[in-house]
Amino acid sequence: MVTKLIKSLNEKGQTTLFKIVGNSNKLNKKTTKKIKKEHFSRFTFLVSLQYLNEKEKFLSEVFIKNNKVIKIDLKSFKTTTGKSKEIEIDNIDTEYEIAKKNIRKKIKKKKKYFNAINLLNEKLEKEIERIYKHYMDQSTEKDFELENAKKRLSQLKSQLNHSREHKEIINLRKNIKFKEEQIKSLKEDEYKKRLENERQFFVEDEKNKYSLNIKIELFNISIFYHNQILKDFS
Amino acid sequence: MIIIKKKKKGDKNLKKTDIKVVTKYGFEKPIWAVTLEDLYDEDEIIPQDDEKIVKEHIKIIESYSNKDKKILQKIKNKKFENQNILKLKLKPFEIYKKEKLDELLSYPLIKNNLEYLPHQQEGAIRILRDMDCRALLADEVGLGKTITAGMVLKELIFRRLVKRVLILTPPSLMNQWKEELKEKFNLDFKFINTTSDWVKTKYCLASLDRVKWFDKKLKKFKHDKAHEIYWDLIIVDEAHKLKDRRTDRWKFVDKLQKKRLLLLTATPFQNDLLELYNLLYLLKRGHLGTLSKFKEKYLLQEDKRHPLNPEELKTKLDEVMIRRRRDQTKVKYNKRIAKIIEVNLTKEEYQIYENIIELLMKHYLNWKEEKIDTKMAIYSILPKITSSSRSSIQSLKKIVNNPKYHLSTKNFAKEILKNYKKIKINSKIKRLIEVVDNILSKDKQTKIIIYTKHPATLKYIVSKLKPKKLQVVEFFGGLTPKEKNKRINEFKNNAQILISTDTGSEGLNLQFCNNIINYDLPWNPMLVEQRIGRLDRIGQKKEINVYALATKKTIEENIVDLIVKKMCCIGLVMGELPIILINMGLDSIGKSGSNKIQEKLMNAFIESKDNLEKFAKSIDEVEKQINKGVEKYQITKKLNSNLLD
Repeated sequence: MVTKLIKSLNEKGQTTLFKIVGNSNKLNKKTTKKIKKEHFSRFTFLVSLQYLNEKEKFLSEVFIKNNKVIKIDLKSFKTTTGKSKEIEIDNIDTEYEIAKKNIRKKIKKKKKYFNAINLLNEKLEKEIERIYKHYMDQSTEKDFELENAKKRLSQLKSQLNHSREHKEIINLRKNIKFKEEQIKSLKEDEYKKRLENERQFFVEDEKNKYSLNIKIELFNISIFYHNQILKDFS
Repeated sequence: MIIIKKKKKGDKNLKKTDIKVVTKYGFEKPIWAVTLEDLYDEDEIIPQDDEKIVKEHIKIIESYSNKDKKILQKIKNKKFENQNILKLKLKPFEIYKKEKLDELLSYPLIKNNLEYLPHQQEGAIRILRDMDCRALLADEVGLGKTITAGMVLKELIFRRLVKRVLILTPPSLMNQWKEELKEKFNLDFKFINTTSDWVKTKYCLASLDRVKWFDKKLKKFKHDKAHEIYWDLIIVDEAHKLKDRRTDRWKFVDKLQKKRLLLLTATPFQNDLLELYNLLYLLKRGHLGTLSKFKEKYLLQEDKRHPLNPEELKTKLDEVMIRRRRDQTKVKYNKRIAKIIEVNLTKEEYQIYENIIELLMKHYLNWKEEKIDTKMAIYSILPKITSSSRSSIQSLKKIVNNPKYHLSTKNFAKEILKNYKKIKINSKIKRLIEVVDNILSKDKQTKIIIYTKHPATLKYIVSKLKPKKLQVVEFFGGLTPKEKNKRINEFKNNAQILISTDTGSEGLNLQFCNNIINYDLPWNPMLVEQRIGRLDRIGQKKEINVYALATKKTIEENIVDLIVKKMCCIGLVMGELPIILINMGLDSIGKSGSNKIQEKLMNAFIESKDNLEKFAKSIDEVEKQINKGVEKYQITKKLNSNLLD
C-alpha cells in the first residue's frame, strides 16, 4: 500500500512555488509595488546511506539566493501558493550545482553518517586484520618450508659425501633430487609476490564490501518569492 | 521531538534570533537554522572535529540521480505542482527512512507462493543481518535451502541493495533455480551460455561445470569476463563440490569479485574436515587460520571427520554457518515403506545369467589370451547384467566389437547374445507391468516414477508400457531445460508415469508423487537416496512407497534387500543415511573407482565365486556393519549436533 503510494507520488510534488505573505505590514503593502520581486530556492535532497545490508534515508535541504547558500526559517513566514507569471527563474542550474556541493558537506556532519562510518570501521578493521594476519602467517610458513628444505638438502649432500654404501647413495641422490625440485618449485612459485597479490585482492574485496554508498537524489525544488524583508535573508 | 525555547519569556518584541530549537538530542539551534530536515530527520549534527573518525580505507562512493535533470527542466518550464502533494509525499517517507533488517519487507510479495516454514525466514534474516550475507547455509536436505537463499535474494533486490547477481549451480539444477525464482520470487534470471552474456546480463544463472573451464594454452578461464564484474551477490548451490582448492571449479569462484557470497550445501564436509576448511577459505580467508594451523589445531591424524577441538571449531563455524536439522523445524518426516518385488527368471533367462557370470569369471581374456583383471570386469559389467537384459545385451555387443578381447571371449559373448534372441518372455518387465497395474488399480489418480540406470532400458520399458494405454513421460539426460520443464509439467498435470534415468533428474521436485519403482538399483546407496529424495521433500503429504525389483537367485536379490530395506527405509529421515555413510567412510570412491559400498558388494561377489549362500553371508556382514554405523550415529548424533548445530 505504502509502496504503491510512493510510486504514484514519485513523479509529482517535485516542484513547488510559494509566495511569502508573512510578516506583512502596512509599510510593506505600500512599498510592494515599488520593489522588484525577488526569490530564493529550496533544494530538498533525498539522501540514502547504504552500507552492508543497511540502508538509511533522510531529507536534507539547502537554501540558495543569488547563487549563495543562505540560512532561513520558513516558519516565521506565512506562505501561499505562488503564481508562475509573477517570477523569472534564470539560474537554476547554477543554483543546483551550488546546492549539490553544499549537501555533501552537510551529510558529512550527520550523526547517521558517523554511525555508519563507525560501524564500517569496526567491521572493516577486523576483516583487514584477519586477511593481513592470514597472509603473513602463510608467508612465514612458506619461508619456513623453504628454509627447512634448504637445510635438509645441505644435510643430504653432506651425507652423500660420506656415504659408501651403494643402496644408500642411490637413496640419498633420490632424496636430494626431490629436495632440489621442492626448492625450485617454491622459488618458481614466487610465493611472496603471489601472496601479496592475493592479499591485495581480498583487502580490496573487503573494502568494496564495507564501502559507504551515498546516493543523493533531488526530492523537490521549491521557489519562494517575496516583495519584502529581503535584508533578513542576506 | 522539537521544542521551541524562548530566550525572553513574555517579550512581545521577540526577534527570530531569540528563539532556540532544542532537538531530541538536546542540541540547540537558533530558529533561523531550523530546516525541514529537522522536522523529518531526528538526526544530530556532529561537530566538525569528529570527522577524524573517517579512516582512509573506508571507500565512500557518491552517486547522483539522473532524475534530477527532469526536475530542473520542470522549474525552467515554470511547471509547478501542488504543495499538498509534497506534504503527502513526506508522510510515507517517514516510514521508510529507517530500513533496519529485522524483518523481510519483501515477504508479503512472495508469501502466497511459499509454504509457511518459519525457519526459512529466520535463516534469511540471520544471513542478511548477522552475517553480512557472507555465509554457509548448511541446512539438512529437504529444509528448503533454495527457498531461504531466494528470500535473501528477493530482500536484497527489494531493498535495492544489489544490482548484479550470479547464481552458480550444477547444470541439472539450473532450470529448477530459474523456475523457482520466477514462480516463487517473481525474479527473472538469465542463463549464461556464451562469454558475451556476462556483460549484458544483470541477474545471471550459470552452470559452474560449464563456466569453470580453464584454457591451459591461454592460461586463463574461458569465462574470465565474470572476473571483471563486481558482483553484489553470488550464490553457489551444491557448494560441497568446492571442497578441493586445487580444482578449476574452486579457483573460478575464488577469483570472482564479490560483496556477498552464499554457499549452499547440506554436507559442508563429506569425508574430511579439510573440505570444510576449503569451503570456509573461499568464504572468509583466514577464518580458520592457515592450513597448517588448522591441521594442528583441529585435525586428528587418524580421524579426519572428528575435530580435535569441536567446541572451538563450532564457535568459529557459527560465525559464518547456518545449519538446521529437520527436527528443529516444522518440516514433517515422511515414512518410507520398502516394497521388494521378487522376479522369478525363466530357465532360459537364468541360463543366460549363469553364462554371463561364467564369461566374467573364466573367459574374460584380452587379445593376448591373458586373464583381464576380474575385479575391473566385475565392477564395470556385473551391475549391468543384473539390472536389465537391454543393458546386458549392450555390454555383450561391446565385447564382441572390441578388438582388445580374445576371440574365445568374443565367441562366448556371441553365444550369449544368440541365446538372448531366443528368449520370448522378459520376466522383469512382466513383473514391472504387474506392479504398475496393481498400484493404479488401487488409485487411478496416483503417480508413479520408474527409475532405471540405463537409457536403453528406459526405451524398452516405455515400449512395453505405452501399448497398455498408460500416459508415460520419458526423462533422461541431455534434454534441454525447456523440454525438461515441459515433461515434468506433463507428468504433474496429465501423465501417470514418469520413467527416468538418474542422469538429469538431479534436483527434481516430485513431491506430488509418492510411488517410486526402482527397476534396477544403483549399488551405491547414496544414489538411491537421491532418487527417493526427489519425492521425499517439503510438500510430500503421503507415505512414500519404495518399490524395487529383485531377481530371485541372483545377487540382485541380496543387494536390493540390503540397500532398500536395510539402508534407505529403516526409519531414518532424508539426509541421515548419507551422514552415516560419511561417518563410516563408505560414501567415497574406492580403489576401483566405484563407491566403497559398491566395491564391497563386488568384492563379496568375487570372493563368493558365484556361490549365492556365501554371497548372502557377506551381505549380512555388510548389513551388520551398517547397523553398527547406525547405532554409532545415534550415539554420536549429539556430538555431531554439538559441532554443527
